[in-house]
Amino acid sequence: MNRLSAPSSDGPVSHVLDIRGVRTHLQERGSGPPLLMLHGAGGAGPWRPYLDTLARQFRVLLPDHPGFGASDRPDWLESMDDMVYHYLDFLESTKIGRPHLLGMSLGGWIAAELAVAHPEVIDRLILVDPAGLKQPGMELPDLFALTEQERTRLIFFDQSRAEAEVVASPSPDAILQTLKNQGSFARLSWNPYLYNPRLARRLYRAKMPTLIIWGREDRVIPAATADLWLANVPQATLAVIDACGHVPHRERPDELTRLVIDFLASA
Amino acid sequence: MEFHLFHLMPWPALPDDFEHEHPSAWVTYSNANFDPVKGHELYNRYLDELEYAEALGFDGVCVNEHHQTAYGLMPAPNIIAATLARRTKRITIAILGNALPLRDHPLRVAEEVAMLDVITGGRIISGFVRGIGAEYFTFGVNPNDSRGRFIEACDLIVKAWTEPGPFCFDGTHYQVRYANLWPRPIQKPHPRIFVPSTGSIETIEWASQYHYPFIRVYEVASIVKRIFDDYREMAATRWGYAAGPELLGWMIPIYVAETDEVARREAERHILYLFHKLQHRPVAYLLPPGYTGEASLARALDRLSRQERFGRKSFDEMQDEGMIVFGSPETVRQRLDAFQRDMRFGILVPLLQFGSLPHDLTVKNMELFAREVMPHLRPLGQPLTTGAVE
Repeated sequence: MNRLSAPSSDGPVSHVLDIRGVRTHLQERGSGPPLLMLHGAGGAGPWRPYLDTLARQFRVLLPDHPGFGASDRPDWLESMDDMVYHYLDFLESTKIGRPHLLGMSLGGWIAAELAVAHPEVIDRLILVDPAGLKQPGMELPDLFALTEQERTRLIFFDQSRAEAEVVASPSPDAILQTLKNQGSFARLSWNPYLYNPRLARRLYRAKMPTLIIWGREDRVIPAATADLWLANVPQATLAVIDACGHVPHRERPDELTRLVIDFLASA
Repeated sequence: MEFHLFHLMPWPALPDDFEHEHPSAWVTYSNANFDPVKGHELYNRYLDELEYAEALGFDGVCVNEHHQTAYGLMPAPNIIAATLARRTKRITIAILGNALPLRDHPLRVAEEVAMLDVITGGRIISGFVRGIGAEYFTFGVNPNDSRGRFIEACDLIVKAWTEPGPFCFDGTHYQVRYANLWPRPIQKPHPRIFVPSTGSIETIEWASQYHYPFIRVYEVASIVKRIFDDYREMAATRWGYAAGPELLGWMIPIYVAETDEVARREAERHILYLFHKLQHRPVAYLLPPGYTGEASLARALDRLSRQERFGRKSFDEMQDEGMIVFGSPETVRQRLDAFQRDMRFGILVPLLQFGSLPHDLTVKNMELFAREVMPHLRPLGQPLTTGAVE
């Protein structure tokens, strides 16, 4: 069991948890109802200011998935099922209760898989530009064939923002970190690429109130994919953010934060 | 020294501005650019060249497997080997190699190679490869599974060749309830296994464990020497034997002409076509995530950063660094002789048709190499060990 220290009001606290033998890195801040954030394929990234905004009302928990960031990469991590079991273990081990679950991109897919496998462990569900479903025949850009710089440009709508975030000459450590994240991403998502053909027929089980958020200009997973989620998730509503690409938390964090707080406060 | 003539069967009709107009000769270059009528001529021309190797005294010929690329037209190497099986009588046919992780079922490979071995009366050399990174894009096989599938498929194939069936096989990637090959191979205990590789630590460790000859493709001579040294050291320290020249092979483009000047004049643009056009592709295609083990990642990144520069390497750089050997018979003899004495390999895999090199120059190159170079090198690289497969 992992007993988390009392969250500080000064800033996020970092923990290294032992989840069934997997050293799992977790950043945490705030108190109130737990809000578990599942990051996308690029990793959890730094603690961003929008998380502080959320932490005023929620206990925000941002773990690194196994195989990503500062968490271990266990040999048994082969598929989405393994990731779901990891998060069941995470919830048991941390005893944070029944959290709201917010997943972005790859993290949205993980959140949806968890929600259909064990809906009882989740309060409300928020999926931000989620992977996991695919319109048949829709061609998606191959993230694995791109350089890190090309991926950065692809995920932003505003290219001046993208250019500001492109790292021209990443350090060897940064390259190895990217390769680690990409390797784990590929374990989960190489083929079928970015989706699980069985997920749509299982989504009826995710009966919790659900908010789908999408950047209107998402070029990784087009916003039209939201129709599939709305058609399959029983209690889903959709919010689309204008002038925003695949990563609303980086491109339109204020809008994202407002949508999340409004949705979670509407109970 | 053994001489195994290598062929890639390249598509020779890429436009002059290809590398500026297209991102890759692999994965995405549209097959709308493949002309089947020209393909018919090419296959038959290339097969003629391979068959001619027997009359010239080569020990063997080599075919290989690549997918969805202008680089080579042999997605099914066992089919090419089959066309050669009854048109040749003496030489070995090396399949370098079957890309095991890309196949759905290893037993299909085991069956096909066993058939070829029986048909040829035991002239098959069975190469096993993982397939290059680009092929994990084209086939959708998860690159994280590449090494696991490769090792396990090899185990299953060798077992199916050598142990009486039926037996069951319970692997992580392959589960077989009835392995019982008909036919079994004619060679005992089984056909020679060559391992062509870029030289990852994991592959060297595995190949040296089983005494499988290791073949290095396209690399500057100093790096090839380092990889051969790694193999010898691994064999000595890890497995307790001295790896002789018969376990180390080098595939290298070679062009022989009357003089150094003629060699360059005739063949320079054709070798640049190989390196600048046919190997044109984004780095991501060579290193898909999970394809390379963590032990080899740093080495792979170093190799890739150098390989990125292949596209910019000049003819002179390639000559100076020993990535190619072009010149008069005397020049080629001297250079290969010096390389052999320094690197101590016993298997030479010359690529005598490369890029857009036309048929007449290919034949001339083959004849000059066989007549003027091969006899000189033949006594070098004598076996140290029996090379027996354990």
